[in-house]
Amino acid sequence: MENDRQGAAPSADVQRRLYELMVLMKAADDRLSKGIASGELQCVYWPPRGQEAIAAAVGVCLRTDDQLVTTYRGLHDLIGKGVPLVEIYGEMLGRQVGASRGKGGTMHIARPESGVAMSTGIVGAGPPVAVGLAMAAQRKGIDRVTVVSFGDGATNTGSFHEAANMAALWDLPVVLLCQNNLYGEMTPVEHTMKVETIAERAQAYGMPGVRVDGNDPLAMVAALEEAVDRARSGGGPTLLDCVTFRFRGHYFGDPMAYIPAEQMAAAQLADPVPSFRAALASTGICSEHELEELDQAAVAAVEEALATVLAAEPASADELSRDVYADPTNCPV
Amino acid sequence: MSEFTIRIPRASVAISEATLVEQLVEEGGHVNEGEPLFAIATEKVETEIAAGASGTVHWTSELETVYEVGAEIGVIQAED
Repeated sequence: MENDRQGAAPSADVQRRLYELMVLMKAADDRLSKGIASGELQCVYWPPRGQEAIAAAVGVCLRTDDQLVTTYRGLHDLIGKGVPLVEIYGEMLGRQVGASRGKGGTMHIARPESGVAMSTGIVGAGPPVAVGLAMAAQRKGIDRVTVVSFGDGATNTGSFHEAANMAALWDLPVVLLCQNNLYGEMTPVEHTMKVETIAERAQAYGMPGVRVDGNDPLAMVAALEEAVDRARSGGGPTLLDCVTFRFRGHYFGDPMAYIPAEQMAAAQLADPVPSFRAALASTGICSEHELEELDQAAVAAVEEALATVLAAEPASADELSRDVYADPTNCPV
Repeated sequence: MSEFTIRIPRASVAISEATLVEQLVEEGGHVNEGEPLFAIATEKVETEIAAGASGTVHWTSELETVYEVGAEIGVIQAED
């Protein structure tokens, strides 16, 4: 099933908000990348640069109380879901102002107030957790939707299969959001699966599967709105196969020798951030002046957040036993 | 005068140390942000590191020495 942006386009306000989120995600990635590359910032990082359209669409389609489960490549997802930049950078750089008080690091960012249930460092570990969150909402009669974000490689894991099967069987309010960036670590997707699309895997579970241009935020909003509505109204899960690309490889510093130059060049031509910027200018939704203001505001917000984080205290040793047990005083550590 | 500390970067996820193999700007020389500043070797890979700021470079490090990630190896003093 292909999604071709059926239905009305989002309002001008929503489109502006999509760009605002996308350019903030890009600015946050650019600054972090520059800082790590020069030795100014010390942290591990799995960059989502190139996947902004998907995360921005999640940001505008979900309510604050809807749940998100994401992965170590989650900077963009967290920004989209409303986690403050100070808490994201703070966690990555091990400061007390981090979302997990600086003891979780890049792979373990959670913020219940924003509906971010967890980030995971294990490929394929998110879907079963999302199924549990969706099952809880269904049993409690809460009209809350859970979106779980994962990559193409995760759909080859047993945990994805178990989660997809149970989600469909019980009509759970969950959206399986595959950010298909065409590589599982360093292996191209066609070397790890026989099927042509990840979307077609949905048939085996008895749920709709939709392949979407993950670089087009408007196509993403259309596909997500349908999937979220279905989930919220009791219609069960949807698998979204959002085709995109990651420009900085698997991990920060990845030499990317395995990516053919022609593929990288073609992907850069389809870079969602400049492409959507050009689309907003050509449709007249934003003037060049407005777009420049949004670009500058994003860079300023990133610099302000980074300055706050660098002035903050490192994670404290007092934190080591907190959040480990419900009542740590009665547990040996 | 603002100062940018030059440190050994975490050039790859799994490294903990790197060998400083080349200073690409001489002591007291000028560098612009983004230009190659020094080279490190990690495992079997040599990587050029770009300057994180513009200004006059002062080295406090020795070539062919192994440094931990994050170690200070010099400063860039802004020329304002």
